[in-house]
Order: sequence, then structure tokens, then C-alpha cells
Amino acid sequence: MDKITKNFEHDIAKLTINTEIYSIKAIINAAYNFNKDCYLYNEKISDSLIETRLKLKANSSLSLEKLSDEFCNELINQQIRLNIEKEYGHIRDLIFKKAFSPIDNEQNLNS
Amino acid sequence: MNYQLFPFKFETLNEDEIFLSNEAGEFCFISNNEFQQLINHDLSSDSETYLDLKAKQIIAESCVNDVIDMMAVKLRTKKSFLDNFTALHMVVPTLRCNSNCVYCQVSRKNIDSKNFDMSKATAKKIINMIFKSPSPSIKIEFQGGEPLLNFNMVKYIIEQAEGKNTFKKRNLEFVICSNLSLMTEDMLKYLKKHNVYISTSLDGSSFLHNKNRPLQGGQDSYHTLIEKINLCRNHLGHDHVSALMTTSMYNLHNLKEVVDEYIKQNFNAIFLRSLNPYGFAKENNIDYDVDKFVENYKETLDYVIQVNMDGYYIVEGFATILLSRILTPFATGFVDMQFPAGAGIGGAIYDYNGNVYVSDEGRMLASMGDEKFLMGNVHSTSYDELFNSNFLKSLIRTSCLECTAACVQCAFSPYCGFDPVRNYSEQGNIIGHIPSSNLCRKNKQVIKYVLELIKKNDKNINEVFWSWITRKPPQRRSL
Repeated sequence: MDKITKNFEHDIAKLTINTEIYSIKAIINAAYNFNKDCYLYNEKISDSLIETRLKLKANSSLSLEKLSDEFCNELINQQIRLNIEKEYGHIRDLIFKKAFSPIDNEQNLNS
Repeated sequence: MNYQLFPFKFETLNEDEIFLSNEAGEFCFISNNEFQQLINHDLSSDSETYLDLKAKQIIAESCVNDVIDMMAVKLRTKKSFLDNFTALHMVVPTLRCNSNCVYCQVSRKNIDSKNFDMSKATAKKIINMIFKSPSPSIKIEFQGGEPLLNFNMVKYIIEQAEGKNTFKKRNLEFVICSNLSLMTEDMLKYLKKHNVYISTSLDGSSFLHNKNRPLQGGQDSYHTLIEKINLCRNHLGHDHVSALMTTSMYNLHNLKEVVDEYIKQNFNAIFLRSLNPYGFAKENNIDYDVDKFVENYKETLDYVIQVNMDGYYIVEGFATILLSRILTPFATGFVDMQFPAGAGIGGAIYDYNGNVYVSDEGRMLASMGDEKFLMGNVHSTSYDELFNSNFLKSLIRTSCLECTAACVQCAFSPYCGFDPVRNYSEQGNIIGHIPSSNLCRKNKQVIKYVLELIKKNDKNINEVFWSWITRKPPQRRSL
């Protein structure tokens, strides 16, 4: 199953997400950004599938359908962030090390 | 294309526009299509976007180590406000106050409650503590209460500090934060002799100012203030007197009127400041929705820009901090909005009884009964125990946006900051919950708006912005 499937039951949206496309870290990061407006429950339902359930909080002005669409977009952004992080993460670490190391340590960093 | 991606963050602005920034605050607006090409290594090296990204070290073709070195220097420069440690030392000579401000954050004491005055023994300990800071610049800012109610203590502290500085040779500066109602010519002669700066509060026209900041007893505070501002300027010079405003629900919808009042009183700077949710501000029901503040802020910022274009030079402080962070490579430490947080390491406050807090807001929380941000007391705690404590280290460690959930990914974070006291006060813990943080919501929207204005690339707006950053009025063409 490549694409995210969405089902709505009463006040809950159920999204079935393939973890071969979206990592668990991306799902958790996306969930964090949405936990202001809804309650989120993640459950592993097979080796490669996670079910994320979104339940709107009482004070939210958003619709469940719009929220779940936004969540899918957020998943893409989160996965892109993780993908590009793999490419440049080591560079960022090096920049920080160089920026905040005493000058005496410069030679050690370069070796 | 054979290029290396360098660390950057992105934020989708709309269906076809993405904002990119890196740790040094370099930024770029690119289309969705270009973004896809960028991350798939398909971006044409002939395109303007490619050259722009390369110039801003978001991509590198070759000499990757050289680009890493350059980025490290830029990052180190941006964070150089950390080099000197605590420079701002706020001292409270008394908690007594003759004002009755609706948003008072300190929970003032009555003017005859003299047991809330600082003693000489405490003041001496505080001066010793302040001069243990390694910072080459020391700013002592008198806060209150109303410092002029204990002017003898203000004089004692100034003279003790100057005496100490004969040997310490720091760049020493004094500021009194006062409602000015008690200022006399004799006081001003003294302050002139010691080169003391004045910071007062002006919240708008007579009606708005009196509504927000009445004196105890209900006298007209506005006309007294204006008279005393002029008296201070006559003695100390125009540049020695500045004013701050606070937005309550009373002047929220009249911010342009507040700007007009600043112009009327010949001020060249205003800081459109939202309410801090502490002290009486929390009890008096004068808070408002953060989106309302942002909406009014944006309109008023446009107005201030137009006023500048029309020939009156007046700087808006909040936008200027952001513009300096966005458009220049320089460091802009601002204790209320920086990361790591300025708590303790940028500024500290010494209460009348010698208690030391990481920030004025930390003291405000203590006055409400929560001493979470009490670092110690000058009578019983050493400098090392105060400023090298595990508590302060832990506080600063958690305030690095590089490791804060949500902030770590935020493309606006290079221009933003972290306020652990505010997070704790509003959300019950130091780290806070960023998606529901009002502070995050406000900062993000204001940063986005300033970026929109920059993106317009309007010659006249740019001229105003650079005049704010450089603090120099633009050269006007003679007619």
C-alpha cells in the first residue's frame, strides 16, 4: 500500500501510513505539530503500516477532513526534512564544532 | 547537478512559495518547483536561484571545507553576544511605587512600606557581585517599584559602582527606569554629573496613558510625565531620555495614536511591545488575543514606515531587531528574544532584599509566589554558585533552539528566541509546547510579515529599514 488511506468514523479520522515511505520519526514529528488542535494515537498495525487516529479537541475550529489533509502535507515536509538531514547532518555538526571550538582545537578538527 | 546541500530549514509560505534559511540567517524565497529540483539535485547551475543559493551557502559545488569554515565564522559571529557573559544588571532599590499601572508586573508595594527598601549592606554585596562578571561592559539599570522613592540608595549604588570601577575599568553605564513623577532639578543635576540615562514609560495620548498608568490617588500622570520628560531633556540632553510603551487592551486598537504621541513628544524610537502575562496583568483581565496584537502591530508598522517616508525619523524597535538579524551578519543579543536565552547570562536582576533572579520576569513570578527562577541571594550565595550553577546551565541548555522540538525545524528560528520564564509562566514548563505557544505564534507572524516587506524590495521601504538598522536617518534630497 503506497498511498495514505483515510477513513472517518464519527469524530475520528484514521490514517493508514506506510512506514516504507514515511518513517516513524516523520510521523511523530508531524503528530507533535498537530497536538494543539487534536488528540493523536499511533498504532502499529503491521510490519509496514502505522495507523494514526486524529480526534479533534473540543475548542478546535478546524474540520476533521481539513486537519487530516494538512497532516498528510506535514508528513511530506517532515520526511523531506529527514531525507535532506541525512545529506547535510554531518556538515551541520562540523560547522557547530568549528564555530564554538577554541582556536587551539582547530587543528584537531581539521585532521 | 553535482552539488552538496548545506544545512538549511524550510517553511512553506503558500502553494507556490517556500522560504529557506540557514543557521547564519541567510535566506531565500524559491518556488515549489525549484525546491523539488533543489532537493533532487536537479537545479540548473544557470538559474538565478542556483547562484543565489550558492552565494548564501545553502549549496556548494566544490571546496566544501572552505564553505564549512565560512559558515562556522558566520555562526560564531551571530552568536558573539555570548562572548562577554552578563552585561545587564538590574537593581531594585525599592519595591515601593506611586503608580497604579493596570498591567503592573511586579505587584508593587505602597509608598510608605519602607521595609521594602534596599539596605546599604545589600547594595554593597550586589555591587561586588556585579563586578565579578567578566563582561567588559556593565549596565546597571535601576528598576522598581519606583527607584526615585529611594533616591539616596540610587546615589549610593552609583557611587559605590563608580568607586569600584576606578580599578575594574569597565565600560560602566547607568539607566533609571522611572515614571518621572518625583524627578526634581536637584536629582537631575546629580544624574547629569554621573551621566545617567532615563528610561520612562509612555503608553499613548493623555487618555490612553492615564488609563494604563494612573498614579496612586488617581492624579493625571500624563501631563506630569510630559513636563518631566522635557525637564530631563533640558538637563541631560535629548538622547539621554527614552520611552517604552506597553500594549494593554486599552491601547491595542490605538497603536497609531501611540506612535503619533511619540512623534508629538519628539521621540525617535518606539518599541511596539505586547503585554507580558505576569503580576496584575494576569489578574486585571487586560490581556488580549495574540492574533489581535499581530494584526494591529502590522498595521502600525506600515504606518511607522510611512511616517519615516514622509520625513519624520522614528525607529520601531521590534522590527529593527528582526531586520538586523535577517539582513546583517552581526550579533543582536536581546535578552527577551535570543537563543540561548538571555536568562542570567545576558542579564540578571537583584531584588531589594538581595535575591537574584534570572530575569525581571523571574522576579515577577516570585512576587506571585513561585521562586522557580531564584538563583540565590547575594548575602548567602557566591558568584560561582549563582552564575555557574547547574540550575542556570540546565536552563540555558534547554533554551537552545537547535535542540527544541519544532524550533529545530523552524526556518524562522535564526531570527527568533527562547524565553524559558515565559514558557513556564504560560505553559507550566520551561521548554513549553511550541505548537500552542502564544509567544511563538506572535514571533512567527511578525517575522513572516517583516520578510514579506523585505521581499517587496521597495526602494523606499529598504531605505527606511537600513536607516533603522544603522540608526542613522536617511539622507534627504534637498528640494
